[in-house]
Amino acid sequence: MMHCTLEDLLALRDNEGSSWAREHLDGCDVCRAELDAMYQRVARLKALPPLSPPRSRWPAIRNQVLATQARRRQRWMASGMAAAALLAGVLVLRPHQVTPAYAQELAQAKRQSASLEAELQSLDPDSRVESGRAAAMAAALEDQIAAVDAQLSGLEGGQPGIGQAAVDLWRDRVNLMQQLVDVHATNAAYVGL
Amino acid sequence: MKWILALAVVIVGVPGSGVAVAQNPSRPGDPRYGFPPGEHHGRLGVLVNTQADPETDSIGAHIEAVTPGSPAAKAGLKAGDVITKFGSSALGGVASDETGGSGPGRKLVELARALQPGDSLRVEYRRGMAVRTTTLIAGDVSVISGFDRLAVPPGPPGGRVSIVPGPDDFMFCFGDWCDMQIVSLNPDLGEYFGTKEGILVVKASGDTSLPLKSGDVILAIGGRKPTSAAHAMRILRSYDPGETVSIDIMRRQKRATITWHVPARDNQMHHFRFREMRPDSDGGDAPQG
Repeated sequence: MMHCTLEDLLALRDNEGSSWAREHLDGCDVCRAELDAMYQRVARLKALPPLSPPRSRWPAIRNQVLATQARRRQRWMASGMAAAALLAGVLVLRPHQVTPAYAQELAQAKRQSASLEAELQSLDPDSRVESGRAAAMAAALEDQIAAVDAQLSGLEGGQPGIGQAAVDLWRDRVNLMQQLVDVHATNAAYVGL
Repeated sequence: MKWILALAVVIVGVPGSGVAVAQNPSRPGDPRYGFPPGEHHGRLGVLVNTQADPETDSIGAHIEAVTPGSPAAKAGLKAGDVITKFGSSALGGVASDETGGSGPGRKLVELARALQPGDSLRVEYRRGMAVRTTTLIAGDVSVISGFDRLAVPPGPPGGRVSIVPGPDDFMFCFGDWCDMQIVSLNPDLGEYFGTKEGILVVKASGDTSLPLKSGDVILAIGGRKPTSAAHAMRILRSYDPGETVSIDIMRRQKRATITWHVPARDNQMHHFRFREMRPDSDGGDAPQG
C-alpha cells in the first residue's frame, strides 16, 4: 500500500497537500500517526522559551570576563574561609555539586544521546537519497545540536543551578538527535526509488 | 597550633578531600566540556569528559558525544570512544592539574584548541577492546550558522538558553531545491559520472527556474564544495534573495557552470532567522558547532 511521503505530510501539516494525500490520510492509521507525531514535535518546540541573541557580542564577552573574575575571587575567598573554618573547628558543607538525582538524570540523558548517535550512524545518511527539503531539515538540526554542544562546553562548574542546566541541555540534545534520526529514517522509508 | 595550621594547608590544598568550602568548589561539580563557543580555532565536534574518571584516565580521553556532521563524525569517532593518542601526544595517564579533573581530557582540550581550521592529524582511539586509528581534519568553529553569537548564553550564570527554534524558523529550503532528490556521490558510483565526489541530482525539480537536470553532479556552489546533501543546503542558505550563485556541475561527464538567481523571500518555503557566516577560505564550510 502506498503511503504519504514526507513531503505530503509536511504539506498536510501546513494545511496544504494534494487531494490524494488528504483522502489517503482519512483512511490510513499509519500516516495519521506520523502526522500526529509531527504536530507533537511542533507543540514541544513551541513550548520552549524564545531566543533573543544579542546584536553585539560585546555584552556576552563582558559578562563572561566578569563571571570569570568573580569565580576567581570566590575561589580565593573559599580557600581562606576553609582555613579559617578549620581553625575554628567548623566544617562547612560544599554546595552546588551534582546531586545524586541530577547525576542519574544526566547519565540517562547521555546514554540516550549515545544510543541515538549510534542509530544515526547506522542509517548512514550520506549514502541515502533524500529530498532537498529533508536535507535542509537535517542541516538545521545538525546546527542546533552543534549549538547545544557549544553551550555544554560553556558550562562552568560551581555556578548555581549548573546540575539542572546540564541535564536540560543534554535532554535538548536527545530531543534534537531523535528528530535528526527521524528525518533521515523517514525520508529513507518514503523515497520513491 | 603549628599542627593545626599545617593540616589546614594540606586539606584545603587537596581537591575533593571532603572538607568543604562555603563558596564554589575548587573544581567543577559536573563534567566540563571543551571548546568554548565563539572562539576562532579548529573544531573537531566532540564533547570530552574533563572530570576525573579512574576507569578511562589511564587509557586516554573519554568522548561523551560527537556532533553529527562534524569532522569527528566524518572520521568515524563515536560516543564512548577513548582517544589514546592525539597526533604525536599520548593521552593515557596524563596527570591531572590542581583542579583534580581528568588529565587526558583536559590535555585533549588544550591540544585541540591549538588547532587551526584545515589541520590534519592522526588520532588513535580505543573502542571496547579494539585499538583503531583515523584521520581528523579540523573544521572552523566560527562558522555555525550565526550561532557563534551565542558565545556565552545571555541569562543567569549556569542557566541555559533554549536555541531550538519554532517551526517557522526551523527549516530552510528554497522552493526550487525542496523537491529535488539528491545524494552524496561515492567514488564507485562517481566513475559513471566522471567525478569521484559531489552531490548527485537523482531527480531534478520540476521548477524550470533552477537549471539542474537529473544526472547532474553538483561539484561546487559559489566555489564551495558540498560534502553532503545537508552541507549543500547549508551553503545555499548563506545567500540572500537577489544574489546570483554560480554552480559548477558535471553533466554527461563534462564540466559546466550554471547560474541560479536566489528568489525573493516570499517565494521560499521556509526561512531561517539566522544566517551562516561565510568563511574566509575554503575548507571551513563543514557543519560547525
